[in-house]
Order: sequence, then structure tokens, then C-alpha cells
Amino acid sequence: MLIIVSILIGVLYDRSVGQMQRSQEQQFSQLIEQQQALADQLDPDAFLEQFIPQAQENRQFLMVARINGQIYGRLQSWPKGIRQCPSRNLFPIWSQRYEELQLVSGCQIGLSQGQELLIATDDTSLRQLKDQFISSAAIALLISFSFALIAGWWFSAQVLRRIQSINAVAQQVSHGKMSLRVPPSSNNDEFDLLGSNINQMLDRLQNSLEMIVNNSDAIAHDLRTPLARLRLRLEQAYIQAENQQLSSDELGIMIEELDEILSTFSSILELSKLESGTLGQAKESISLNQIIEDACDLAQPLAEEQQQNLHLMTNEQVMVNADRRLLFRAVYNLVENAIKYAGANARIDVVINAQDFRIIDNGPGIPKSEHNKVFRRLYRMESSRSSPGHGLGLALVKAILDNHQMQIELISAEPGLEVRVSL
Amino acid sequence: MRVLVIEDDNTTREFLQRALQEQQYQVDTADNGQDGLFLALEHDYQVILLDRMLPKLDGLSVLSTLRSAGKTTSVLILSALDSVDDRVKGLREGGDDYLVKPFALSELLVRVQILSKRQSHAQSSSDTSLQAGELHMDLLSHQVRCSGQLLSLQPKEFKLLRYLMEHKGQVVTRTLLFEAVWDYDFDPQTNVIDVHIARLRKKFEAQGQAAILQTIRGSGYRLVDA
Repeated sequence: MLIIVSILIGVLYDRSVGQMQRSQEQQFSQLIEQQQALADQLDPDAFLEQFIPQAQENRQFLMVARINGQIYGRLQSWPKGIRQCPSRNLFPIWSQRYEELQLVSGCQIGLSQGQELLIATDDTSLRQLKDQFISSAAIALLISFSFALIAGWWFSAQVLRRIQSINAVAQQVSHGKMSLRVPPSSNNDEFDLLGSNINQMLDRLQNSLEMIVNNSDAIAHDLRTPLARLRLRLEQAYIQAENQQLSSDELGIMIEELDEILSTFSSILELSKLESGTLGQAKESISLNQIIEDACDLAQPLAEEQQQNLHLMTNEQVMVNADRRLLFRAVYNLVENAIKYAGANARIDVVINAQDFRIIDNGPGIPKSEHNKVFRRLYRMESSRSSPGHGLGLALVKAILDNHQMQIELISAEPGLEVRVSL
Repeated sequence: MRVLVIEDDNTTREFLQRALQEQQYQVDTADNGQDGLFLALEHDYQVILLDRMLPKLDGLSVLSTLRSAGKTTSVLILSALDSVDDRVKGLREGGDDYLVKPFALSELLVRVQILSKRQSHAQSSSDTSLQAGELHMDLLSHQVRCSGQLLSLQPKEFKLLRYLMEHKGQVVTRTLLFEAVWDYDFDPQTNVIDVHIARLRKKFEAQGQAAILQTIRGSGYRLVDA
């Protein structure tokens, strides 16, 4: 910026002061050439005749000639120390017009017939202009320099401050304040982009962290309850054993409770493995119909217990690339859920189409607001809290289907529920 | 019959030893892979129970060394690793069966029995009928009589009963039944097997023979003679 200002000032100087100086220089040299030519052509008297009126009339230039010690022109005496043209110097003269000393700039030159000529002009205004120009240029430079300095400092401070604010957030987050975010600004610049990217990253991190914490809490709770129950039973059994009253039935119940805990535990493990992709790698081409038939076959007596009508409708023979155990598990879980929640005397249709399979019941269904929640881990609807289960079934189904690139959606069947799995 | 238990957890090893001895097996034990492999190569065992993770030499290495030495002893792998991939790996290395920890002791005993029979070929597969108390199953005609009365069984019920009769007097777990009858080898985590059993029992009840099929709480079921 300083360079630009300097160039600008330089050009401006050249166009104004420089131009004026040059034109004055030109007039000077023209005048000298003119007088030299006159002196060359005319004899000294004729020259004087020409010279004197010129010297009297010329207001811009002071013209003085000296011939044999005699001075002609608007000066009484010949000033000393005048330089030879074309170089000039400043010297004082007595101005008759203003009755004061005047500084003029001029030079002297010897002409061809022994005359000496002195030409000077009052260039005070030019010099003043020059001085003013230089001082104002200096001021302009100084101002722009300090402005550049301040602006530069301000900008770098601004940049530093943004980086520091991001830095501070990163530091605090790494110290555990997960909820902190980089404050947004209205600038919409690269820093905001960086900040919003960091914020997005933090959001995702915080989400998964919260999910882990929530899951761990829920798991701890879900395991704690049956463990507490088991502990109570064991204490009781201890007393019974002391009194020789311990029955094998009592021990069997405890084993069953323990098995339930273990099964919750392995479901959680399986879910993690499915989500991390370490499970469900051993896929082969198998018949979906066979799996669904097996699942319905297994679930049939459950439906009969509740006088439900479980009906399989096959519209298509479908082969899928799947892990047989996992897919069976998912399908069976869905069928069992339908039986569990559709209520007595319900009708449950399992339909196999080319692009999907559906499990449709005419039970009470699930409110739309719950449709997405039921797939969450350990989520249990209020209405189902009293029934057995660990709340991982549908989460596991979803994880298995995701693993097989199948989509599950719940559709309210008015009345009842349709579970549709798209292949 | 002689079996080898290679297991580094002391409690598990001692329990297994005691339970197998109660079933009249002669039991040798090793608490690391190296000793286990040495014993397995040295003697002819009916069945080897092999823990997957062992000090000094891990279970799968023991197994592959054993197989490459030409030993065809039946091996039941015990493992805390439960995924299809782990199971496939274990069986591919030459394991004959795979049991996930924690397991029911009764299930382990049944599996050991199945393996030892397979090994000795003692069980003649030419049996054409099974008998348990008042229950008689004809394997050729698929007819089942209870106290002389013909029972009408659905195909799955027939398979279920056949498995129970083949393991008469033994506690059979839900997982074993699920595997044998429905051909899915994993813990079904559902009480649906109980419902199937209850349906079967109802058919015996009609003949006054409900007591023949016992429920062992916490373990499974047992078919008895009386």
C-alpha cells in the first residue's frame, strides 16, 4: 500500500510541480537563446535598443545586461556570485515595486560581443508549491503508513483472535466440556467454515458419546434389576439350604434368571458386533421363503395359544444373500412380536412378495409417534413394560436388516400394524 | 471311555472333570495348550474338550497340530467367542463341535456323548425303533404309540420326540433341541420351545403319561422311562 501511495504521489508531483518547473526552465532557455541570437546579429548599440524596452516590459523575468561596467535593466547593481547558465542559483534583489528584498532564481551568461546578461525570475510560488507538495506528501505517506500499520495489526489480531477462539474451544473440549462450540460470526469466511466443520464434528462426537453413555446406563439398569432379583433369591436359598429346605426348583429358577441376564448380555454384544460390522460377514445365497416358513412354523404354537390365526402367503419364491442364522432371528423376532402384541384372536398375515415381505396384524398397532422409537436400544413402550423382554429385540432386528441392506418400515394398517421389510 | 479336558480356568476345569467322571468317563486334564497337545498326541481319547484361548499354545493351534499329526479324535471347542465367523473358523480347523461359554453343563454332556458315540461307532444306526417307558417310536413308519395308542404328531413334533428319546434319561437343553429339530444352531432366546414341548406333553397327558416328559427348570427337558 505504501508503495502504491508513493507511486501515486510521484506521478502527481511530476504532473504538477514538475510540469511547472519544466515550463519555466523552457521559458528561461528560450529567453537566453533569443538574447544570444540578438547579440550575435546586432551590434552592441542596436542590441541595447532592443534589450532595454524588453527588460522594462517583461514582468515575469528580470533581465539585466552589463556592457563595459554599465548596467542596463531593472537593477542598480550587479549581484555577486551568480552562476553561469544553464545552472541557476537563488540571490536577493531589491524590488522597487514592492520596496522589499526579493529572492529570485537566475543565472548570468556572457554574450558574443562582450555583453553580460543576467536573467532571473521570481519562483517563490513554485518553490512554495514544491515545499507544500513535499510536506503534504510526507504527511500523506505518514498517515497511510500508520493506517497500514494499524489496519495490518487489526487484521492480524482479528485472525489471531478467531484462531485463538477455535483453539480455546478445542482445548476445553479435550478437557471434557463436550457441549462447547466454536462461536459463529457473521463474516461467512473460511474461519466460519472451519468453525462450523469443527462444530459438526463435535456434534457427532457428542451424539455418539451420549448414545454410549445412555446405552451403558440403560444396560447397567437392565442388568442390575435381574441381578438384584437373583441376589435376593440366592440369599433366600442360602437360608433354605441351611435349614435343608432348598428345592431343586428354586435353584432352577435362579439358573433361568441367570440365563436371561446372559441372553441380554449376548444380545448387547451381538448388537455391537453387528453395528461395528464384525458380525454378519458369512453370507450365502439362501431361500427367504424357507427362512420365513421356518420362523412361522416355530411361532405357530405361540399363535395358537392365543387363538390367533397365523397365516403365510407366498406370492413369490425369493433367494437372498444372507446369514441364515441372523436373518432367521430377525424374521422370527418380527413374527413373535406380532403374536405378542396383536392380542387374542388376532389375524396375522405374513406375505412374501418379490421385492419385500410383510407381517400384517389387525391388533391395536403402534401410535405413529412411536414408529421410529421402537427400533432404539432398550426402548420399551409404556404398554409393553410389564411384558417380558429386554427391549433389544427390535434394535437387533434393525441392525440385522441393516447388515443385509434391507429396509424396515412400520405402517399403520388401520386397525393394526404392517411391518414391511424391503429387500 | 477316556476324555481330555484342556482348559486353563481352574474352576471350569474341575467342574467339567467332576461332571464327566459322574458320567463314568475317565478324565485327563491339562491347563495349557502345550501340555494338552502332548497328552492328546500321546493317548487315544474318545473326545477332547478344548478351550479356545489357552496359555502357551492357543486352542486352534493345538487343534491344527493335532490334525496335521493325523489324529482324528473328536474335538469339542469351548469358546467365549460367539459369532458365525469364530464358529466357522473353529470348525474349519477340524473341530467337531463348538460350544459357547457360558454353557449349560447338561448341554455339554449331551454333546460329549454325541461325539463319543460318533467316534466309537458303538451306537448301531440300524435301530429301527426307540423305546421309552410306554412310548414306542417306529423310525421306519414314523408311527408313535403311547400306551399302545397311536399318537398323531406333526413332523416337527416327531423330530422333537425322536431327539428326546435318543437322549433318554439325559437333560436336553433348548439350544440342543433348537439345533436338532429346527436346524438353527444358536440360542433361540425365546420360550417358544417350551410351548412346543407343552403341546407334545399334552398328547402324552391324554394317555396318562404326562410325567414321562420332565421339565428341568433352568436347564431343559428330560424324557424318562417311567
